[in-house]
Amino acid sequence: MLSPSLLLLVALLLGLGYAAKRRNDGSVEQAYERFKQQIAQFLPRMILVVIGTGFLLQIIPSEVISTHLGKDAGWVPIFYGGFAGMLVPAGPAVAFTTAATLAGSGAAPAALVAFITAWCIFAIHRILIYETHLAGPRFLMIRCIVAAPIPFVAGFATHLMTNF
Amino acid sequence: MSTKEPKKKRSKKRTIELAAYSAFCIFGAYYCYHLKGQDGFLAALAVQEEMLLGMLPRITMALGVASLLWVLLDPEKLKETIQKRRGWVKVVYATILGAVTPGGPSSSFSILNMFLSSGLGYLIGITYITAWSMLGVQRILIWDIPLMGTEQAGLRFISGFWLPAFAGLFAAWIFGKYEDEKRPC
Repeated sequence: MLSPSLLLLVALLLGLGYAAKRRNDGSVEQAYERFKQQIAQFLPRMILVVIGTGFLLQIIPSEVISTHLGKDAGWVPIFYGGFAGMLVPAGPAVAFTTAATLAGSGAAPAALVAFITAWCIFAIHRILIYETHLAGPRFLMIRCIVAAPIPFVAGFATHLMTNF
Repeated sequence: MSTKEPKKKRSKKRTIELAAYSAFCIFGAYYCYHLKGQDGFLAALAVQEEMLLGMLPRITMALGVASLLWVLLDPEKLKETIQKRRGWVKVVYATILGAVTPGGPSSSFSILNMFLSSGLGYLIGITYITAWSMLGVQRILIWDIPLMGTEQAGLRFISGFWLPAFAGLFAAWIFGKYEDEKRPC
């Protein structure tokens, strides 16, 4: 069945494919090469992530998740989500699998937004490998201070939108 | 030899990653069967089948879109575009540029360094890198939409698209002011 997200992606693919074709400079071929590399890199990982997530969804007690991270828990899940996201020391596969598992177990959208946003901004592995070396410790400190409220603000905004 | 070694390293890293994910699946399967019995195990398989059938077309399309964006967007041109703008338009451009910058951290941090060394300051630097980290289109396409769904991805985008500019303004206000005061007259 064609879901809205699939339709959106198909529309984007057609639009961008048309733009690449119009350039007439081999962009489509380059994109296809890149696509093959990306498929080889991501697809096996994604399939394993989905299989692992399926088992996690059965193991994790969904009552516990929905009580502490569900919509009925109010603002508190936003804080749990935000702080947990800051502490995930791994790449997108782990962070998004955790989020998908929590979503499947009944976590509130606001908690998930806080979790993913916090991970995106404060991914520890990225900070250690790139940011300290490429941008310097002073810039890193400033960025961490000014960006610290962002996951929680995004979570509150989502909470307001979903409970309006 | 110099090109072969990083390739070797990458494939070793990929093998280790895949081994770790496989181990995660095997342990998950074992505990699922151990805790929930055959019924729970079969229910997990049904969830996986549903998720995979839903996700595979989306992932394939998302990777196609990300590959086209990678070819079509030129970070150098994007950087030049932002340098030509003034005032708040610059902040809007920094947000958009951060969101659409193709590639991983190495390309985004090199653009950030160019911004900082060309005197664009914390306002643009923080706005750009925050937008790249939280609104990155490639990440939204490859991970957010396939795993979380359009609605959740949309909620995250709508609730957060204005926040990188807020972070940039905050950084310029607090730290830019402090540095101005420190600078000799």
